[in-house]
Amino acid sequence: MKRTQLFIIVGALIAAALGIFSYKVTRLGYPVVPNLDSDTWTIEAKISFRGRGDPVTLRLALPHSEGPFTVVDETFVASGFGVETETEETGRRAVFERRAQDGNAVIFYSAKLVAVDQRYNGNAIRPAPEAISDYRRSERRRAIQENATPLLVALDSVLSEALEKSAGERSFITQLARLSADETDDRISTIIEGGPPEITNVSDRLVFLLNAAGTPARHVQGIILNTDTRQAPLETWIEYWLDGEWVSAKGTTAEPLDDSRALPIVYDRAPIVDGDGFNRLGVSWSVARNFESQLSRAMERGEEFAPWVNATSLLSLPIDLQLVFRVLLLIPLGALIIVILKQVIGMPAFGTFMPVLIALAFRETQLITGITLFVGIVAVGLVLRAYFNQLQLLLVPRLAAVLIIVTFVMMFIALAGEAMGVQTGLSISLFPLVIITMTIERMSLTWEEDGAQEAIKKALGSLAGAVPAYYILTSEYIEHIAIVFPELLLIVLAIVLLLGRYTGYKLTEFVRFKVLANEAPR
Amino acid sequence: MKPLAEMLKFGPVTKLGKAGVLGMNSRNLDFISSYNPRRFYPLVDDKVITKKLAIEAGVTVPELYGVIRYGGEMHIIEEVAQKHRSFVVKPANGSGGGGIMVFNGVAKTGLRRMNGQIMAWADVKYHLNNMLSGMFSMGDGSDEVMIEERLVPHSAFSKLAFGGVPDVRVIVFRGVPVMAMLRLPTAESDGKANLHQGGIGAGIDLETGITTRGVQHNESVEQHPDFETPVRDFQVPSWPDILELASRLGHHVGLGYVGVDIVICEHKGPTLLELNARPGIAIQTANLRGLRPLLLPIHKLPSIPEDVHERLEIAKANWKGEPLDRFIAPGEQH
Repeated sequence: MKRTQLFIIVGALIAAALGIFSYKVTRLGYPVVPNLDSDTWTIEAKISFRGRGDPVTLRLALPHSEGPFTVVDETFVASGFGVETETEETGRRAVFERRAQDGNAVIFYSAKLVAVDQRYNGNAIRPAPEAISDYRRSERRRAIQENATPLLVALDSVLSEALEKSAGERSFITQLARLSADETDDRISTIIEGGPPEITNVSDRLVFLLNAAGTPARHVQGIILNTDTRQAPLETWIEYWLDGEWVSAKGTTAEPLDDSRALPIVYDRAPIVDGDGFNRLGVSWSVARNFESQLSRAMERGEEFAPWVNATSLLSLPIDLQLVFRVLLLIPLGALIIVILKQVIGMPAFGTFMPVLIALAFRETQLITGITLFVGIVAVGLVLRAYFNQLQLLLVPRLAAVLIIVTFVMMFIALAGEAMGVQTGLSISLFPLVIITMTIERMSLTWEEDGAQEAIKKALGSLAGAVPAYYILTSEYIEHIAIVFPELLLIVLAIVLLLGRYTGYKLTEFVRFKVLANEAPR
Repeated sequence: MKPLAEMLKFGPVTKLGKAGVLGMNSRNLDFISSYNPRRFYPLVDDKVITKKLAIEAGVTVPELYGVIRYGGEMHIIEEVAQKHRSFVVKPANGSGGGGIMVFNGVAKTGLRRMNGQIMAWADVKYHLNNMLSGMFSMGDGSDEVMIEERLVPHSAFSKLAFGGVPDVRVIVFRGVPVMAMLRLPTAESDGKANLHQGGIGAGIDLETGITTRGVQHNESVEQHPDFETPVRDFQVPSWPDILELASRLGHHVGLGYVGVDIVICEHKGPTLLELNARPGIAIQTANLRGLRPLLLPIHKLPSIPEDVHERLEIAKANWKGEPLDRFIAPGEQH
């Protein structure tokens, strides 16, 4: 009895899923809805290097608790190494030491960061840092006028102009940044030529000018906590002292950055990692927004009452693996969407899983860019495919040729995008090459055999399927549910199994057989 | 045997259900996967095997002039062309009529197609190579090219078929023909008889072999667009032979639910074109009749007679909507 078996399996799956889900929600208090404003982050650094058999000293810059974040939970994984932390002017550092290290080694550092609400912190009196020099003081200006080198005169002129055009400290800084960015200005070029040699770019210059003006300023290297990523790039920005606190700002315009997102790691161009006794150094940072405290409370409670829940929770995985699962767990949902599109709606499309694969690619590029890229690349591919057909190539070499061309088109788009300042870079690298190539081949075959209308209908069908799939696969709520309650995916499996025995009509068949429904009342 | 439809359904709710329309999902689950064992698929998917089976069953088939299996056998096409001049090339595992090409003459530079154009030898060989690499085939990988006799359609179709060969599709269920339609090529379908490419489908009264109505692109049509001849009330020639051929072959091949495509040849009479293990459901619009009420009574029959004439009796009674109780042998119950 296939049907009875199926219903038993489906019932068991749904019961198991709902059982675990409700236990986690009602007893352990797992949050059903993500707190999207959560300001807790986990960062992880992975440092790989190769020892030469000599003593190794490796110093890694660490985030510290003085800025907008408090470091709560720090762990080092460095077997065989002694670890110490030290604090100096350029920031906090961990020092890893070992008598002799031969061959490859990997060190992990992970920390949990909680954004500090500055309002509660404002009362603490902190010593104002000293600027390196202060040209605004009258005695300094007198000194400048007495032994006027071109550099000092240029400096004085720029600072005076910024001061005249500004109403307060904040607008002074903005004016200074504006003046400093203008390299056609003679005074600025004098500063570039005559200033300290380590000034190489706009933000260096701004830091120099701010310090010269008596506003303490410094360089920062750190990470912008934006999204969950396994490869967080190190960013550079500046900080200046304003109204008793350090303000993070863009190095080019002095525009303030979002304090709750900019995590400083190291100051004044100090290296992130230094030391000796090793080579082939590789450092990568990963960032994940943590689930809110309600979740950690739930996990603490789970530790007490039901350790198996935590042990099987994906949140106990290292964050780079968690990030992988955040995408992987959406695949079952994508499969469900496909089943519904094909069996219940009857949407025409190329290939079985194409719409969801396209939607996954759109996750990286955003919807509009994604659709534009997709349509563009497929159109170019179709034209080239038609030309290759005239050359009379065999099927597999022709597919390979289209694949190679598609690669070039993507490379070209990335370069053109970079030149025009449009961000496409990393995102289109994940655009599935082979999927696009197969689409081109199938589409041109359909085009030749069944006409352009049929081919375009199917292409639109594939895209139309990808759009709802995109919205489902990018919803933060659904992502949260999937990673916190992966057991609910059993329900998805149950629905798919049930639809496997669906013998009802597809929605498109109501249109297709309309005449029969209207004319044949038997 | 269990009445599948009654187990789940309380009765038809939608208009389509009341009209007895067979949907794609129901076709796949209730009929194809229940009645067509997967192991029999190669018998119909590979047209070389189908041809052998048909000869076994005593059915007329187009003569096979040659088979090209590898790119190195391309010379076969030239030999066949010299000898027969008029022939058809098709992929042995083709689906939906893809890749089929008809030639009716040989020129110095190449082969003449039905529309009079000469196709250069290089283009012909490129097309055959594409077929060999499986471009038009089900499954993946390579395929074979069949070179066959070109079937000359019966003269009755001279004002009904444009630039190609018309055929009759009969749906055969457990060896009993249940529904049939005539497929007519048009200028728009480029001489192909496939409905989704713009061919005309005409429903056929299964008892008499007279067409009842025509559809093109899912819309009702009265006349053939290229000749302006009416498509209804046309007597399909050799109708009893067509039914017998379909029933015989459907019974012999081991597939419970099968589409039999038959060409009515001027000289040879009804000739098998191909079998289809997943026949489409558009035949219902051509006949303005749902398949389900025709399939269910046969599904309920405890056994099917071995004699082809008895099966045709069942087919006609079933088409007229008569109860099939009289065909159940005494002592048999379901």
